Amino acid sequence: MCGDTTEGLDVSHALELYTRVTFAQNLLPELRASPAARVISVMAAGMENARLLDVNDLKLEKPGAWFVAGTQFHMGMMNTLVLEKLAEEPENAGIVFIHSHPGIVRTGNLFRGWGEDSWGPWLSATFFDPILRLFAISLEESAERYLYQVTSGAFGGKGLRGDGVEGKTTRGKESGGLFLVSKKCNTVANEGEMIKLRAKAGDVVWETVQGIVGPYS
Amino acid sequence: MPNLPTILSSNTSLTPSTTPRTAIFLGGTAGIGKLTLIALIKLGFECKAYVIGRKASFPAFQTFAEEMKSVNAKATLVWVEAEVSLLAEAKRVCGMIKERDMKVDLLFMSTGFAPLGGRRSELPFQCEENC
Repeated sequence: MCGDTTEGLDVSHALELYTRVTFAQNLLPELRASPAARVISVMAAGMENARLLDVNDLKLEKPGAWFVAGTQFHMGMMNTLVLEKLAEEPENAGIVFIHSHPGIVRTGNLFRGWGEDSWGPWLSATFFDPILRLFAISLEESAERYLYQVTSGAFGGKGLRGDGVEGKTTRGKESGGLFLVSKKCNTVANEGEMIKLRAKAGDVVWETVQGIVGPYS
Repeated sequence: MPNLPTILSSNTSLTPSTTPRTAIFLGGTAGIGKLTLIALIKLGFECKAYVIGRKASFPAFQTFAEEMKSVNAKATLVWVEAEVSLLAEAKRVCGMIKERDMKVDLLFMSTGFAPLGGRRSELPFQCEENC
C-alpha cells in the first residue's frame, strides 16, 4: 500500500501549501534583494470562512474530513494565514505577497484529478465540463489577468501604476501585507472572516505549518 | 475593480523595468502557471524563468521551450527536474537557485490538482515512484 508522500504529507496538501511555503521561506533573502519582488500563490483567496476550518484537524485526518471541497477550503485558508504572516514581517515589506483565486479556468484539471481506470474523465467530458464552460474565464483572459497581478502597481510594490487602481491588503493598507486577489483582479479584505480566522487559527496554523516545513527552511 | 480593458492597457504599457527579470514557476508546466509564463515571454523582454517540474513533464517542456525561442529569443527557460510534493526536493531546488542567483523577482506558485477521485497517495500516473 502506498502511504502519503514519503514525508507523510497528503500529495495535494504538499503541492497546495507546504511546498509553496518551503519555497517562499527558502528564497526570502533573494526576494528581499530584488528591487521589486512578488510572491504569488494561486489557490482560494477570498474564500476564508472561519467556521469551515477545523483547527484540531489541519491535516484532515478525521474520518470524513477529507473531501475535495473541504481540502481546498482548508489549504486556501492556511495559505492566507501563513502568507499574511510572512507579508507582515517588517523585513519583507519590500516584497509583494498575493494570494489569488483564479475562478474557473478550463486548464484540464477536471480531467487530470481522477484515479486510473475511473469513469471520472467520461463524467467530466459529458456532464461537468459543459456546465463549467458556461462560467469559465477563457485561457487568454486568465493569462492577461495573471500578467496584471505579476506586474501592476495596484498591489503595492514597484509595479506599473497609472490606471488609478489601488488594491488594499487584508488590513486595508496599500503595502506591507497580504493582498487577497479575486478572479476579477480586485482585492478583497474579507475583513469579518479574517478577524475570526486570525483569532481562531492564526497561531495554530503558523505553528503547525512551521513544524512541518521548519526542517526544510 | 480593474475591468478587462484597464488590465489589457496596463499590460501593453509594460517595460523591462516593470517586468520581472528572474522568475521561478512552481507549477509552470501546465495550467495557469504555464499561461502566465507564456504571457511574460510574449512581452519580448529579457528574462530568465526557472520551470520546476516532474520528469514526466520534461518532453512537453522541451517542445514548449523550442516554441518559445521563436517567440522571444531574449527569454531563457531553465528546466529544473524535481518531485515537488517532497519538501526535501523543494529545499534542494531552492539551494540550487540560490547558488546561481542573488535576486529573485517573482515566485509564482500554482502547483496542485483537484483530487476528484478522492484521497490518493501519489500523483496521477506516477505510482511506481512512490509505492
